Amino acid sequence: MEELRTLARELLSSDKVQVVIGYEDAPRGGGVRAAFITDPDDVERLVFDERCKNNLAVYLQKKRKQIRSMGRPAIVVKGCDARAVAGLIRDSQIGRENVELIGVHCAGVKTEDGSLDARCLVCDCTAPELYDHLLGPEAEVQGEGDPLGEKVAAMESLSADDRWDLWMKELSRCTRCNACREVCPICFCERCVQDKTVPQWIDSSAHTQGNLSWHVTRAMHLAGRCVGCGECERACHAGLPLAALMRKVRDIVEGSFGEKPSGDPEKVAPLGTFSQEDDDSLFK
Amino acid sequence: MSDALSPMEMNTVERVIPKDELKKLLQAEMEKGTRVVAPVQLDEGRFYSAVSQVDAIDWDQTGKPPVRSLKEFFFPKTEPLLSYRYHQDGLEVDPPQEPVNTLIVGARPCDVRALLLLDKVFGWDYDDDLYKKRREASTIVTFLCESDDEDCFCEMLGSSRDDTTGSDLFLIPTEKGYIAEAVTDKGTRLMETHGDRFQEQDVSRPQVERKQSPGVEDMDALVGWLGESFDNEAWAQLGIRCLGCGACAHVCPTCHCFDIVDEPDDTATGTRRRNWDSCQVPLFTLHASGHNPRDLQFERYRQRILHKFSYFPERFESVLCTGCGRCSRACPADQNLLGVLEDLWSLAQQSK
Amino acid sequence: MESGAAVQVKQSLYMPYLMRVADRIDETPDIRTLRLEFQDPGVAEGFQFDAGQFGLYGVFGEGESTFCIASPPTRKGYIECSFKLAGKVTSALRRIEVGEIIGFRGPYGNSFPIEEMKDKNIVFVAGGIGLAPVRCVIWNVLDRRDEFNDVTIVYGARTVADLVYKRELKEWEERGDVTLIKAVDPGGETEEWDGKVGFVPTVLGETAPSSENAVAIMCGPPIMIKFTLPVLSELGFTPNRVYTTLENKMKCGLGKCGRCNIGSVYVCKDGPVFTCEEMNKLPDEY
Repeated sequence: MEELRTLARELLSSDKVQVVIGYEDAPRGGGVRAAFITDPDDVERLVFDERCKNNLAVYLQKKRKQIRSMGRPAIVVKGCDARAVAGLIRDSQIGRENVELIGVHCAGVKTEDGSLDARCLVCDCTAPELYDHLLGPEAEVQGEGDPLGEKVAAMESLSADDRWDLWMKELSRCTRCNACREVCPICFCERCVQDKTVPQWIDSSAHTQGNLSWHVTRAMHLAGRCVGCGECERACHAGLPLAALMRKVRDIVEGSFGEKPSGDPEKVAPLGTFSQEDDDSLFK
Repeated sequence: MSDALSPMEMNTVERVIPKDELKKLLQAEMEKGTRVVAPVQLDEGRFYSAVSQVDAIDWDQTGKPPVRSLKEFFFPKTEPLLSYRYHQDGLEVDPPQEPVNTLIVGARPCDVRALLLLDKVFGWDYDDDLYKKRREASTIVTFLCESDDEDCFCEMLGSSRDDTTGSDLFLIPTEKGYIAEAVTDKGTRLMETHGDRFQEQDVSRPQVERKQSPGVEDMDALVGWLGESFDNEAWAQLGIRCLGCGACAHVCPTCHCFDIVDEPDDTATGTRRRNWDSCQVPLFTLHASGHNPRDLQFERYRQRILHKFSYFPERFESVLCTGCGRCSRACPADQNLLGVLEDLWSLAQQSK
Repeated sequence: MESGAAVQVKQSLYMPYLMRVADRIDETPDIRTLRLEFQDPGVAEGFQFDAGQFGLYGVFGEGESTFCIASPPTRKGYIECSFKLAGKVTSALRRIEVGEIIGFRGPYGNSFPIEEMKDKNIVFVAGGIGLAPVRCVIWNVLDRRDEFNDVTIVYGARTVADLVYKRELKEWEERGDVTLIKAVDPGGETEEWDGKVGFVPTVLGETAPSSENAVAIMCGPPIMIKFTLPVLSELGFTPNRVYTTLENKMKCGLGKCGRCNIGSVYVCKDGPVFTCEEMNKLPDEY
């Protein structure tokens, strides 16, 4: 942590960055929240530990106007967060040179009940792949299993009718609060498809049909770009199985294109390009 | 009994309904066609939900309240305002359907108090008949709250776990069953309808301890200070991490902002609906010209706080909040309302 | 400021009156006026409103949009609205033909203090489509002409084509009891243009109507308002004698959806008509 604070102080004092986006202790509840440090004397607020579940890359989006107006940012990124930043760079949402990446080795984040988050158990990027600085000792996730994969497998084992009923039940709880959208770094559209009115592609009403349109469309729009940070499910107050949905989408992308989420911004997104080698057995 | 309660020394004679009699009461109501709404424990959390079986009900009043509030049974997340049908001879427009008789059981006092605040908005000069009819068609049975949750702050706003305000019938758990207090005529009628399930019993009423830390000692003073605070620089930092989703508004028992949209089913028919909306979303105030009066997130966050703790009390003499803490629990960006109010209170005190 | 009463007890608060489009007039390439007649004769007979009030005009299946009632309350049986093409609902309204049915909810909001304006001189200042709410007051006054003193109208638009209510501008010009100064922005004039060339605030300054026993009623784009206020001030109009009408994004129009407030002031309930004195107290979020 001292490493982090020292680096932050140096970056701010030298005016290499004007704001450090990191984590600080939340004033109530014992957790953490996003911090926006502009004064070198405030770097003591920065922390990093297993409570740091937020994907801060979301604050790099163009639509975060207040943050953008603060100047060139440095941002604390775990492996998954760094992949999200790579995604933003890949999609021309931020220039590589316009952000200073403070990568931190991460041994996983904990959920409210103290256990390791499901996404961390299958993590393949405890060391961020994209960074300007790399801090902390190398880390290893102390845990096993793939509960998220098992959940997906359990859903897939249901008959089509049962699976439909399951999803109708889950989707009926959604109120279209859009927490899933706003917390996702890759959901950066300044005019989201569900907010377009001419024509109204997706019903904005929170009936099950509208909710189905929204979640399926969002999943499709994120295909090939989702990094599996799990923030969508963490953010959902109604407990929709969004991490499972996106895991399935990632599995399909890997199956069809051989591509997994990547921290390399130069790598083209699987659905962002066309190759002669693409499987076209779909066309009969 | 939970840690929030302790038995009083003295016994009193009360009307008491044992739990299995209460279950039979609910069963009887369901058989009459009444919609029964109660807390239900799902894997994903506790939710108020219409139940088709009494066994589905979660009776536990400890811990935080259900994820969402009761407002969705009076002001649904989406509801038709009218339906229309074009046909060769013209156009027909029909009003929405009448509501179903509803019995809400297991409500928390904070959620019930919130309905009185919504009554003020939905009855302000124009009577919102959709809301009003649902209120008239509902009876609310509130249970003594046993929450110890850190994010709750109803006491700071002048309420308590045994606040009966807004309830029709208030039930207090004892070892012999629930003490039943009829608060309104509806409550009295409910007891009379199921009279033989309520017995006179000698019971000791549990004592409810005031447990929440005050946070803001003088809410009236804070409200007064907020009335002059619009240009205060502190707002830029208080709302800086807000992501502008709307989760806080959706789970909140008193937030009532809505959008109105037309939704065609086909080329000839459709509905005009109202849907939950939130002042935190950038689109909320965006003009067709592209101009947005609240362009930055902190301006939208300021609107939320000031609406609840300044504009609403100015007009309706109460803050638009019951201290349930849901917004803090639901916020994906870890904004905590009690924390924000405490920060504002510090500022207010420093400025004296 | 009184509000007019809706006559029919409607089945539900959000149910609109059904209106038959009686006429549609293209004021400019992107501004249209619709004249709407109440389908229900009972409503047509008894409908009342006050100048300055607004309504929500809706195409079933597309949505509703908010416009002032542009016709005066002195004319019965119909109402008019004028709107600029801006998005989904206004596009749909433009597709509506004479004889078709749309919905109208209203009248909502407060109104201009017509009764307090009696025996006073009135100066109307408007720009572009801002003439629409002002026109309602102008006709309200002209329909009761002898109750009011001098009437001066300063109106301008970007170009000659952008002037609205062109036929009425001619009527007002030809009346002996109204002073009309019409203007177009520099570069907006045509060869035949016989009015002034200059921005509205400038033209107002040159016209220099007296503020003695006078009130000013103005409406126009924000930039025009910004530069007109100092001119009025210099002419001696105090902020409590200058009235304007604000617009903000609206949905319900009746104080429940929470969308239109500027600070603690609800544009749909405390407005849309405000004095400049009231406007100056509003926080900077509109």
